[in-house]
Amino acid sequence: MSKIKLPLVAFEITSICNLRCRYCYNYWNAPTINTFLHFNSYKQSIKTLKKLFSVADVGHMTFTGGEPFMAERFVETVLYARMKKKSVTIITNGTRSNENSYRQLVEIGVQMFELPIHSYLSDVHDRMTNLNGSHGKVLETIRILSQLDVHIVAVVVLTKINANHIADTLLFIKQLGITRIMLNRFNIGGRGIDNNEELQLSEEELQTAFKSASETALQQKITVSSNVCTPICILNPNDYRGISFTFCSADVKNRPLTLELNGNLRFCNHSPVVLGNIFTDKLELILNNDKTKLWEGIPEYCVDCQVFERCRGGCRAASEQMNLSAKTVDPIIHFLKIQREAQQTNFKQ
Amino acid sequence: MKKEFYLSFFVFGLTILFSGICVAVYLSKGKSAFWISKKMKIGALILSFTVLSSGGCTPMCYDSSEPTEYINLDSIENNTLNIDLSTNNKVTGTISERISNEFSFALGNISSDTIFYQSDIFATDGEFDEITETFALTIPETKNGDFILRFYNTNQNLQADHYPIAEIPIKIVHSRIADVQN
Repeated sequence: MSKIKLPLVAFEITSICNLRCRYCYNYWNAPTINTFLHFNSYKQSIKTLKKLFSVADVGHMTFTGGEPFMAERFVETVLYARMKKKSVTIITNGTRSNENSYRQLVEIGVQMFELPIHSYLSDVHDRMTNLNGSHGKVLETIRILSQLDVHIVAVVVLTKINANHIADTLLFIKQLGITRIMLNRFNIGGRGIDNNEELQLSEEELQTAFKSASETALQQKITVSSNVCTPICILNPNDYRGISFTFCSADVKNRPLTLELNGNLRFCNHSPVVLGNIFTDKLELILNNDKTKLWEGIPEYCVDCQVFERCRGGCRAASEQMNLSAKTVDPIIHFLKIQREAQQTNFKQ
Repeated sequence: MKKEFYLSFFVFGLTILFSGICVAVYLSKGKSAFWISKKMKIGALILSFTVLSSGGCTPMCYDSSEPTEYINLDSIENNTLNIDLSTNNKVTGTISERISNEFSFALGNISSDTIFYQSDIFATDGEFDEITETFALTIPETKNGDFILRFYNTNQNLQADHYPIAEIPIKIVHSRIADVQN
């Protein structure tokens, strides 16, 4: 029987992390989750990857977490994936490893590392990650990785804390020798649910920050992408020509399917809903079950929208994080509406 | 042929060595930095002697697409490329962070996800050799309707073995061929 072709699978190799980022989207950090057991096991990692590769023809593996460098025998697990001919990206917070491990990973052909740089100001970055000194550590990691000549992508999560100096942050990142930046708006989920008020930008702030980033990207020739799906009625890509926008695919196989250590498969790394388990359910059935089909539906809010096929209602995994259905439009629509109404009320008063 | 034979023999030897080191790592319960270091070194050596697919990937939250190659098109409205074949059949744009030397595109039906036209893309200056390159492609005479335009960082003959690096809905009007329903 031929294997199902999956372009990308994100593997959450561990749920453990040394940071307590205010914006963290990992669903196990949501305020409503009280019984989650943190996972970390090399033996289980290999078992799960072996099972995955036996049922799917995976093109690319992204190792994430948690903090992957806190996973037991992480570099050996990556070696296993590489020997199974998978290209590999690692998403790390850049504070937990050392030159030796990075060198080993580059030698076995890891193509890309993604690290957070939320601001050129260390106190702002550290405030977002909730760890003093994390800014300095990630800069040291970037220095090491630059010497190893590997692709580095800087990730900026755009919040109320860092949005007002985004242009300076992009310039700072460029000066570090990095020309690829992911500019991701704060997307509610996980620990971020509790910090929504502190982090969520107003529509005007969000658009101003994206405008500033877009102009800087064009002037400085920096490749900036917005990888958190955002409703086009909030951020229209046509208004930010310096930024490449990505949107979720309607085809489940082209989604960033996310695999947990225990074999649970989710729609993406933001979605908390488990579609099935690769050890107990057939992959084909997982990819075609009722939970998956829910994503094919059109949210009520988007019914008359001309660009729905492109936008698909923004990040509906964020809706799931808010205990709403995947058929509900991105909750940012709701938050921004509340903010607008509050502003209007203040104005009247 | 002789060279290939020796190379295979060498890789076979490395694989045996690697297996032995894996046993040592297992016996040390994965706690020996020495054996893990050796495992990684030999693993890297084996990988360097074997051809690995670099694969492809789609964009995701907190993850970028491939390490390279963004496509920006010059005339998009509402995230759709509108082509009026009575006035213009050219699509122009820019490829940034380029690595590949060859690019191509495919036109397909949205509903059935089937490709009906493939062609190579050409750099405006004749060659894909700079980090950022402008390009032009020609939309063929086809039926009116809504389609999908996919871009690949390979030539048209190898598209089947690669994942597209970008795609965008395309609306074609004023074709001399009858309309198509999608």
